[in-house]
Amino acid sequence: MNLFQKFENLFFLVRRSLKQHALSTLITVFSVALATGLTMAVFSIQNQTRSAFTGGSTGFDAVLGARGSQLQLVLNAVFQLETSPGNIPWSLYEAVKSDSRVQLAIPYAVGDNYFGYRIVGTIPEIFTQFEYQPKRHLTVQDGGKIFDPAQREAVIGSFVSQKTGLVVGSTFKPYHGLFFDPTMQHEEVFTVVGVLKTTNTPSDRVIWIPINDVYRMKGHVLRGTGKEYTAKEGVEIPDANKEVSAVMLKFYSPQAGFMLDQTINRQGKIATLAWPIGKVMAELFDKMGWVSKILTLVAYLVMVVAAGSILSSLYNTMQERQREFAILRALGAKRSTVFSAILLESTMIAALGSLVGYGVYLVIFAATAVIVRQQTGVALDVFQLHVALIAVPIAMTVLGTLSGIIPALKAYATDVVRNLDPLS
Amino acid sequence: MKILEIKNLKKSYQSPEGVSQVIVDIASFSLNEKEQVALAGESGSGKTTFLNMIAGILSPDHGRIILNGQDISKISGVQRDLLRAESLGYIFQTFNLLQGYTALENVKLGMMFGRGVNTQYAMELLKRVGLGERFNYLPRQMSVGQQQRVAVARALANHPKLVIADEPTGHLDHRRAMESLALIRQICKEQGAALLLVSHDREVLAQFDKVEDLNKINQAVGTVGTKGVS
Repeated sequence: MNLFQKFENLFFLVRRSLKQHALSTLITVFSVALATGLTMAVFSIQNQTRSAFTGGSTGFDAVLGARGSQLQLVLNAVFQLETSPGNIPWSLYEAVKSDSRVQLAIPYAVGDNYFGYRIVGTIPEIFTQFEYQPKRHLTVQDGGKIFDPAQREAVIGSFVSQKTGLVVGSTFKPYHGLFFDPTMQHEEVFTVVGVLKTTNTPSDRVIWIPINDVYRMKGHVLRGTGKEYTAKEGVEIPDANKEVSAVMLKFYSPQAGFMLDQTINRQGKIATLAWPIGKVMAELFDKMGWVSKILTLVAYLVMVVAAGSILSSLYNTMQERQREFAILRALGAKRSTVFSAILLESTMIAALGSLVGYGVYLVIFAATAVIVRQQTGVALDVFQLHVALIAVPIAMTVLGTLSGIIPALKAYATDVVRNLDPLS
Repeated sequence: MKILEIKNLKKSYQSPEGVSQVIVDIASFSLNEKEQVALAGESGSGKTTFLNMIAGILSPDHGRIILNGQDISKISGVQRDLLRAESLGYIFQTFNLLQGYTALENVKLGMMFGRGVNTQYAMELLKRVGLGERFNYLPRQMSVGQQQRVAVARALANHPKLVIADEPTGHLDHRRAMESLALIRQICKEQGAALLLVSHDREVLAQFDKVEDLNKINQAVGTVGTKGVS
C-alpha cells in the first residue's frame, strides 16, 4: 500500500467520523471560523484604519488653526470629527496664502450642520485647485456645478446626498452648531447645485458653501478685530472682521512645513500649525496603542479558546470511540494509524473552520467598514490583502493540529482487548 | 504445512486482590493450512483470551505463537498489526461492526490496513454472503443474521490464511446458526483459509470433522480464578 492509499484511508476514516459527529463538528467549525474571522478582521481593520488616518493622502500637508491641540485641529478640519478649537483672523489666512513657500491655502469656516452633516464655508479653489489625491480634484457629478460664491449655493458630498436625499435643485436650511439640534435652524435657504463624485474620504460627508455665506448667516457674529461684528445685507464685510476656523495648507516642499512649524508653533503665540498631518494622527494611534494591544490579545485568546474547543470536542468523543479504535486495531490498524486519524481530524476541523472564517471576516469587515464610512467618510477595502489573511488561517490550522495531540494520544493508547465488546 | 503453531502458551491476569491467576496454559496446539477445526469451550475456559493472543491483540506471558511462519511474540507491534491485517480474519461473537459505516464500508475496513482496498472484491464478498442488495445499509438497518454475514465478509476481505471465529452463532437461532456456520465454512473453503472456530454449542461442534476440547488442552481450566474469565 503506497503513501497516497494510506492517506486516502485516513481521510476516509476522518470523513466518516466528522459525519458521525456532525453536530459537534459543526459547532466546533463555527467557533474556529469565528476566531479566525475575528482575528483576521482585527489585524486587517487596524492596519487599514491606521494607514487611512495616518498615511492616507489627505491632499493637504498641514492645518493652521487656533492655538491649541494639533490633534483637535486635524480631527476637526481634516476628518470633520471634533469640535473646532476656535478661530483665527482672516489676516493670518492672507499671510500664509501670500507666503512663497505655500502652494495652496484654503480657508474653512465651520459652525453649522444639516442633520448632523457638517457645513463648511470655503472658497471655490477647494474644487479647482485642491487635489485630494495626486491629479484628482473634487469634481461634481453630471448635471451639477460648483457653487457661485456670490449665491446661496451648496455642493454636497455623495454620502450626504445618499443619506439626506438632497440632490441638485434641492433646497435646505442649515442648523446652527456642529451637532444636529432641530430647534437651531437658520432662516437662510441654500440650493444644492452639485453633488460630488465619491472620493472615499471625509469630504463625502461634507456640505460645502461659500465662506461669505457662513459670515452672513443670521446669528453669526465675527470677532476678527476682537470686537463683535454682524454682517449686514448688501454691505461688504471688511476683511479685518473675518475669521476662519482653519486654513488647509499645501507646501512646495517639506522644508517649508519645518520652517513654518518653527515660526508658528515655537515662536508664535497666535496660532497652531498641525504638521505633518499623518504624524499628528500617528501620535493619536500611538496613544491609543494599548487599545490595539488589548484587541490583538483578545483575538489571540479567542484563537486559543477555539483550539481548546477542538480539543474538548474530540476528547469528549474519545470515550465512546474507544470501541471503534479497538475494532480498527483488531482489523490491523496500527497505533500510529488511529493517532494520525485523530490528528488529521483536528487539523481538518481547524482548516475547515479557517476556510469558513473568511466568510466571517468578510461580514465583520464589511460591517466595520460601513460604520467607519458613516462616522468618518473613510472607506476601508475589504479585499485589500494583509499578511494576517494568510498567516491567521495557517496559525489556526497549526493550533488545531496541536490541539488534536492529547485526544490522539488517548486513541493511540486504546486497550484493544478491554474495549472489544463483550468478552465471552 | 502448519498455518498456526502454539507451544507452551501461558497467560495470567492479576486479580483485584493482587493474586496472579493463570487463564491460559496450553502446551501445544496446531492447525494446518485450509484445515477447519472447532474448539469446544465453555464459558470461562479462556477461549477469547486464547483467540486474542492468536490475533496478536493480547500478548502472552510465555510461549510461542507461530502464525503463517512468523512468531508473533518475537515481532514488533507494527509487524504484528500488519500480520493481522494481511493474514488473519476475526469473526467476533458480537460482530463488532462499526455502526457509522455501511455494510460495504465495514467490509472495506477489513482490507484497509493490509494490502489495500478493493471495492469490487468487497462487493463480490457481500453478494456471496447474500447481501448484494444491502451495500449501503448501516448495521442498525440490518437484522442480526445480516450483520453477522457482514462480519463474515469483513473477516474474509483481506484474503486471510486463517479465520478465527469466537462463538459466531451465539446470537442466532438454531436454523440461522446452522445456515451461518455452513456459510462461514464454505467461504473459508472457497478462499483457501483455515478456520478455527470456538463454540460451546454441541450442534455447531458436530458439524466439524476435527474438534478439540479446550477444557483438555488448556491446563488452566478448572484451576482457581479461571471462572468467569473469558
